Amino acid sequence: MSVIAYLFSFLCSQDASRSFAIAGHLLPVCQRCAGLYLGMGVTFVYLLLKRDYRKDLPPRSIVYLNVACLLAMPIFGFHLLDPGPAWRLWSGLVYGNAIVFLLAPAASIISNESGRTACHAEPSTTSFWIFFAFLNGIPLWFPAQSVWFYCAALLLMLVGLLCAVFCVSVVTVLVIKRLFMSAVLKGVNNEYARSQDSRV
Amino acid sequence: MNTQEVKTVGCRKAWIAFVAASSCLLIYVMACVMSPPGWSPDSSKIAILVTPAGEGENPKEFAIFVYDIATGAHTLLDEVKADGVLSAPAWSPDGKWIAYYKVEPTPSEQVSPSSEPNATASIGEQPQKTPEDTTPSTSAEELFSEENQMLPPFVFELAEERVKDKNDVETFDVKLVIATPDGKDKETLQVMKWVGGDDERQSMVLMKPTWSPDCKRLFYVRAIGEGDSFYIASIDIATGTTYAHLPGSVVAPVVSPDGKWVASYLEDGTLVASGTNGSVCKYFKLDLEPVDGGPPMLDFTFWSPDSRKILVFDKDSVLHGIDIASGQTELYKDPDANSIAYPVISSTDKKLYYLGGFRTGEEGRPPQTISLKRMDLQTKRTRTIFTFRMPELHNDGGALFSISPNGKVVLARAVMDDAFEKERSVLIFWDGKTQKIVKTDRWLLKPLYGDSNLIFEEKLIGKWRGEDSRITIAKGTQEKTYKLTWVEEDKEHHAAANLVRLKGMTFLGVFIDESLVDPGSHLLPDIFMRVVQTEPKLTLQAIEYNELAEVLEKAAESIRPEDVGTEGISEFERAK
Repeated sequence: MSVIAYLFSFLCSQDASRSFAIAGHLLPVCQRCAGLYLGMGVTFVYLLLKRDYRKDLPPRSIVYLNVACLLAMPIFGFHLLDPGPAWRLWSGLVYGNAIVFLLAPAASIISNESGRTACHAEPSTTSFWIFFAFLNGIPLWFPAQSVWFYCAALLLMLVGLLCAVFCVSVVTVLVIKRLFMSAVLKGVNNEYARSQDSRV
Repeated sequence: MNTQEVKTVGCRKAWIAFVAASSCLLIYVMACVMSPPGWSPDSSKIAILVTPAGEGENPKEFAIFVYDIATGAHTLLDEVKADGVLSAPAWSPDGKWIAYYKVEPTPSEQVSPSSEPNATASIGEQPQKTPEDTTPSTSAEELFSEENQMLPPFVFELAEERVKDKNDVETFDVKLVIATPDGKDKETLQVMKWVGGDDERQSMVLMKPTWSPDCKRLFYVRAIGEGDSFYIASIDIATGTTYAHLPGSVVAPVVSPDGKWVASYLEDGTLVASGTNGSVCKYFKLDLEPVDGGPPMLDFTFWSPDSRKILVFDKDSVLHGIDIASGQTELYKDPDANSIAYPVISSTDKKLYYLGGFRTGEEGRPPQTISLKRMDLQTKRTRTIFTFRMPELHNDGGALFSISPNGKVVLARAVMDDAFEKERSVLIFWDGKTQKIVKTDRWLLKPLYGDSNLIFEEKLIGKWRGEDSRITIAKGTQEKTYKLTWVEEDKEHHAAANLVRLKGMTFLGVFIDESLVDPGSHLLPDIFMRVVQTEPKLTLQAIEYNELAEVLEKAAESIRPEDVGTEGISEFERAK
């Protein structure tokens, strides 16, 4: 557990007075960060099951909601409004959900750019709203005092963190690869290739 | 729009979404890592009640300071003088507030006993109001002024009997105050009547309120009679609604980590646990041998992290974990430590931290070597974190220890002797690597002079020989400072000093620990020496800080020699 705590120490202030204790074990992140990584983890699992993220960015209504969730964070994050642990967890959950809902499809589209065809069918949003309602209900009962729950929460947080790391890494590697290939195959100062690129 | 264009637009949107999401995540992570925690229970700061050393159990001055361990900066939160009293301070779990009791320095009030005792109130009932409410309030009504009464009726009866037995019941007003750690914001939550006299006022220094874990409620005690008769109440910080919970004889309410229970002891040692909503009250007759004739280690009763057990010590330092659901007791003992003292449940790993090795010390005196130990309450495994040695204390006296909430730092409050063998109150910190001693007496002093009063006299510099001692005065490392070295009984002492001109007289301000470099402290010397003359002999006269303050206050324009008398004068000849 100390390895996980060490890992999260780079990402969170780990204020113990603002961390959840589950069955006598303290989560290695503060309440808001717990919400963030849990939200990311739960959303990532949802997306994996749903598989919608491979097709396209989410429908407009979901994007707008996610942007609203992202914009709401400063209000809670900068303690302009800090009504307590449940609200801290909630603000993290919806923020994490919004990040993964944008990050995962975007990373998928960018990495599969060449093989993607122009399909843009508006998928059903019913399952998302059910999932979002579930996410909003988590602060009402979180945390359950059980060691199993502690392990599950920790696992989901790690999944959420790894999801973000994976998405960013994939896109970064892709960008580096393209730049490298472009430089090697076309040459750094290839005016013809540059003009072709700009035409495209 | 052709296929290629659709692909390009889709990809551009994906890039925008990707950059926006990863930027938001990065900004959040950076903000969280860089923003300091409101209050981390790592004991980076302490709130502490300071009284002047040498005034015994009846100090004439109380002050609460917030001390930053890393920077050494201290901030005054509140102070009272004369017969006023302050209690020990209690940090709120979110670190935003510090709560304490305060008795203003006013004469205690005499009130008449109640003519219509309100002794029939039962659980959940408000005390019955009578038409006599328009008359001045009686002591009984003032005692049980909480809006929501959850106390068992016998507490009312007990208090009423005590009030009735005497013609004049001595009471005093106690304020429940909360203040921000920077001292800028202060609020009196309520003013309440306590029954008692000087003893109860003095015992207040040992008391402190207790916060609920969510910081929404503050639990406090109220004295209802002589001795250890209290009842525990609480106040909702936001609404001001008050609740009277249960009788008890502890000076600090013991609130469970989930905030649902509050525990105390009856005078016969019965442990009481009451739901904070008043729904349930459980009594446990403990089969424990009391410590020094009283209930089991009152100050060291605490809840297990899961709020299921109350942990109590017996006189053999065996920890008894009483399950409040089943009433069953589980024992915890560290066979290697001889004793378990000053225990605390760590806020970081929820393990029990305590000091071991106290049995090797003599009565009332801490032993030379003490260990900070840790016990896992689930596996009962113990581990020594570090061991430290006690420095020499004044008259081999005792010390009051505490362990930081993260279990990493041990703090002792004690009295030590300085180079002039004067008693100095100190805080001693150990973190396993270093020992840090902080003198607190100077915190109570107000500067008697400013930088503009500082002067420098070359004539003072040199070697001087007195009747029993030798003194060397040299130029100090800082501007307008001196470095003093004196030898007494073959022992060499060092100090820093500055020369100051106050209302026509010259004084040498001596800093024993040479701490002129501390911000602001260069105006607060440990002792003053009046420089009577420098030629042909150096004549110095020792004068106490308070004495000089009084003389300065009385002197209109200049201090006359008769104002300071002739006591404590020493002469020194210039040595070759």
